[in-house]
Amino acid sequence: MSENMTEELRALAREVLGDHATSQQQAPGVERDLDPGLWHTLAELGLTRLTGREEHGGSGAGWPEAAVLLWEAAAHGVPVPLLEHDLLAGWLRDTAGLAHGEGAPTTGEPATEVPATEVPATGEPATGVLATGVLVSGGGPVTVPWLGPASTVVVLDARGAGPTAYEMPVGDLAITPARTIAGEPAGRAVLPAAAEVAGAVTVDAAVVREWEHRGALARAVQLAGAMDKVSWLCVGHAAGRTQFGRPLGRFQAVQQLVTEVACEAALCRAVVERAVQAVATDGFHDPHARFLVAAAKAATGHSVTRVVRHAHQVHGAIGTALEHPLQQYTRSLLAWRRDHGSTRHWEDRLETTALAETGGDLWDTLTR
Amino acid sequence: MTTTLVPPLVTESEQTRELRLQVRAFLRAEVDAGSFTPWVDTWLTRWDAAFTRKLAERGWVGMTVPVEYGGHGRTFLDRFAVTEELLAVGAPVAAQWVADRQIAPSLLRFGTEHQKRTFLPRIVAGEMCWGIGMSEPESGSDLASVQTRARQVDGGWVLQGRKTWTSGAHEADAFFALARTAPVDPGNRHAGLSQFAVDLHADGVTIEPIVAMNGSRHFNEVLLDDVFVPDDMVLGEIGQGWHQVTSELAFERSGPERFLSTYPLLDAALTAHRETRPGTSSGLGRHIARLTALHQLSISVAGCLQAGDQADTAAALVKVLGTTEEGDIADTVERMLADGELDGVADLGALTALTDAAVLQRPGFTLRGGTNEILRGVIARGLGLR
Ligand SMILES: Cc1cc2nc3c(=O)[nH]c(=O)nc-3n(C[C@H](O)[C@H](O)[C@H](O)COP(=O)(O)OP(=O)(O)OC[C@H]3O[C@@H](n4cnc5c(N)ncnc54)[C@H](O)[C@@H]3O)c2cc1C
Repeated sequence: MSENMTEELRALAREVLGDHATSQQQAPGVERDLDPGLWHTLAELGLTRLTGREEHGGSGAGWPEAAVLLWEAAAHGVPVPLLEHDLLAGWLRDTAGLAHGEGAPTTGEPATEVPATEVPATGEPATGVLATGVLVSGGGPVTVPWLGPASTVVVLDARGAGPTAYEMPVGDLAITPARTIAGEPAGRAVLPAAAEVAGAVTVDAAVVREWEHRGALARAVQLAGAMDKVSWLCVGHAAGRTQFGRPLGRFQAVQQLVTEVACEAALCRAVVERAVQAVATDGFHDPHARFLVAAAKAATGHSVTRVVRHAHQVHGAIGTALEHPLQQYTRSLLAWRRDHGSTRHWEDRLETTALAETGGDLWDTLTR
Repeated sequence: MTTTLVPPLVTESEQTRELRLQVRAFLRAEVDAGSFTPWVDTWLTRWDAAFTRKLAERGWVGMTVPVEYGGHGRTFLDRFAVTEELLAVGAPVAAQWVADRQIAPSLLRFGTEHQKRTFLPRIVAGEMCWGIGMSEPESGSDLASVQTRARQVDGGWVLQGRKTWTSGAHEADAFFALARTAPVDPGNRHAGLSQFAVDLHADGVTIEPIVAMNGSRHFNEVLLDDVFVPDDMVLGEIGQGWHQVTSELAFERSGPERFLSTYPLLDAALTAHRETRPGTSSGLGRHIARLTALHQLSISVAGCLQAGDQADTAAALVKVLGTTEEGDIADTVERMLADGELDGVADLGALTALTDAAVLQRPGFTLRGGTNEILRGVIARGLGLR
């Protein structure tokens, strides 16, 4: 897609998500569910399977477009399972050649239309065939994101000798509902071994590695998008609130906090944009692209600490109230930071695996 | 609104990368031949006029200066790549640094034809070294308060005052002195300032060393006692000194030396760790991630300069982040050494010496070229807070 088209997509995403964010702010909740009406709109616009293959009903777009959508959703504070549905479940389905048969429509259209006003209770799979994805690498129950609204789960099972992929209806699982720290729905479940599932497909080991990097890159984009938004919330609050007869932003101590947030956000944006660009051009099989993804997740995760701390400090008590928009973003930052590999995980992996795979020369890798 | 702070993503072209690799190969050969010992913070502390001339012979000094002034007409992105390579290997580049980074661009922007023809070819040849004559004993962050005065006389100006912290003044040929040419206007403190190209060998110039905390000498006090500067050595316009010096600072603040001063130490520590504990992680991954990001942000600032766009806020942002990070690298390696995590490395003594040098240079990182507090003020203005 050309520069122009990503910008068109950005405008479209801002319009749809902006409308939604405005209506959402009237009744902020601790629990933040997927709005089926919004998901329906996104599906109609071809955005829920943005990166899906066109022959399977997807929109055939790539990472630059996916990043725009992820960024905008994060910056609008709108919870949507774009990563899980499109970039993981949808991708794995396409990659492994899992059946695109009944019960697994590709656009994620709700099977039964649910008007936006009738948001279903937690845990009800009311959005029909929304798919989620999970990577299982150890025994015992795992946390599956979006298990409430999702009705099908695409599993990458890395427990055995060789990785396998399969898909199963959420209804076949015994689920303990859960919530992320950001209030998004999730669930704990024990997923069956591939051998017990009909239609399980063996996949290449590189698929697991790509999964991990997809998750990390998407989270890094979301983190950077949310941090960007947080920095502007800080600017707005510092300019708008008066204490001691002056706007807060006139106090140098407050300026220093706000600028630190802005600096971290800018830094993250730069590394995330570069990683997305590298993945778009060279793909996840390219070691340098993977190095940049690792750097992006490590760097964004690291910045979250300072951004969240300073942003709340600037906002004072109001920022800690549920009614204030800041908490939507800071809670998401905290939730995403630990997701798809912690900061420490990616820092270590960057230094060891990622660097070894580019040939081990740090300077050459940094400047490539 | 959100796009104003961060310049658009820029990546290196194939040609620039080729140039980068040429420089890298040259530097590797120089290290192998023992022409210099890689060190930290070399752009301030390692002055080697012969090495600078070697680089100049290859066209790597004054790269962005147009051909008509003896330069190479290269882009800021080319210059960025070359300077990054020089810093990463820890080459002795102090002799060219100030001239290449800020004097040449200032001359191009504000200099007369005569000044450009006089100075630029010599800078490009690596034969003329410059210092920075801004700070004074009573004027640090508050640069507009400089007390050096220039009094108009027949055919020129006479300067009286005292400049301080002047890096490399004892080796340099000249500096731009910021001086007051009109009394302070309380309504506009930035008015009445001017810049002069001062020959550091002229009558009335006395240069005295200031010994740094690690015992080294790189900066000086420069006394200007009735130093005559001819009219044709006034830079730009009389009274426009503030505007000019602000533009000079944008060049001073935007380069890769604001995050790579300790890169040779990071590289050495990483190598040592691999030697002693192969396959494990050292904890340096955090710095690698941030340097990757800083490199990217910094290239984009170079892209901004190339496009002729305003980069003050973005440059301040990179400098605040980068100078903190390069100092943090020194601290991390120091801790690794203290905890014995690099014990067993072949040359522990050399690594310790490099670390000590970095730790003792660190306090200056976040001061020189405008302190981080002042730069956050610049960013706050960019954000519309002041
Ligand atoms: C290694 C090194 C090399 C240098 N080389 C040169 C050179 O070649 N030429 C040259 O001209 N100068 C040079 N300098 C000087 C440098 O530019 C000054 O150190 C710098 O501008 C700060 O001035 P100051 O040291 O007088 O500190 P001050 O301005 O006195 O500041 C002291 C502290 O107060 C803070 N502060 C001051 N004002 C404010 C404010 N308004 N708001 C918030 N905080 C404030 C500062 O951030 C700092 O933390 C060099 C400095 C160093 C360390």
